[in-house]
Amino acid sequence: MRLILTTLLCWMLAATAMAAVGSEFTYQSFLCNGTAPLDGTVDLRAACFPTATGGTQIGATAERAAVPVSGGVFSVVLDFGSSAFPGADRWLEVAVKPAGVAAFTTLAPRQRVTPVPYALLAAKADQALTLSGLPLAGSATAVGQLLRYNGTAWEPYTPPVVAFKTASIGFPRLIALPGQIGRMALIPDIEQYDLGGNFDEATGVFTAPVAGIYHFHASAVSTFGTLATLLLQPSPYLVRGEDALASG
Amino acid sequence: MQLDAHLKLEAGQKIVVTIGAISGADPIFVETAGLKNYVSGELVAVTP
Repeated sequence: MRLILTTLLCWMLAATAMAAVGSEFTYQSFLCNGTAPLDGTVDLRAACFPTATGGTQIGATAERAAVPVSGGVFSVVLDFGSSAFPGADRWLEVAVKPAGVAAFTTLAPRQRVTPVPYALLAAKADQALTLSGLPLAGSATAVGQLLRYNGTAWEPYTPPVVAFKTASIGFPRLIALPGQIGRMALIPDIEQYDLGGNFDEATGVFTAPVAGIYHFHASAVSTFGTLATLLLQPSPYLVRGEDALASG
Repeated sequence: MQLDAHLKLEAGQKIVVTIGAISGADPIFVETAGLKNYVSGELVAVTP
């Protein structure tokens, strides 16, 4: 029996989630015995390659026994693994034999795997490998996280929650600043809130959790009116209040 | 007295609100500046 693969009728790739449906796909084609469409059963082997000739086989060889063929048409389910079709060229090499015959006949040429026109741009995607052409990190994204590009890949990112508000009712604590005459750190004694825990109410020091632009507001009432000033200062020289006050 | 400031800070950078005399001459001034009744400070916004 001389079998000829004459027409590649249909090539369907499962485009839904791999985790849900696996990596199997349906392959349907057409066999002739000479010039007449074949009727009967055949054993079939299929292998995936990156090139039309030669090349290193991708995935395992799929072998299907007693495949029914009606009017030349047959259909089988193949699976070359979840990484067999990353978007690069792929070719399918098919070999068939009648049941009971020992040797397979490899059909030539290999069949190029081509996309279904509207699978080129899917309306919906369950998973994406890239975003704007840049890879996605594999780590899971938690509730409230954003995606941030780290220079190599998109990764889950927890935006900082930074806010505090303090107050003093009555005379606030003051801490001397070594080396600075006539200026003291102002320590409010009520911490109304401190989201992120970046404000130290013992020292009045705020530590920036991330690089960025921070907007601060402070106000104070003095019997001297505008004779005093409020400043935001770096605090590498700040020491604990009691000692500083004692020495100041 | 009021303070409104935008600062560009690096992660880990520390700042504190201070009060002082305009001329900065007398350390006693601050302790006797007569702060009374209400002092508040807050981080209004941050744009990382």
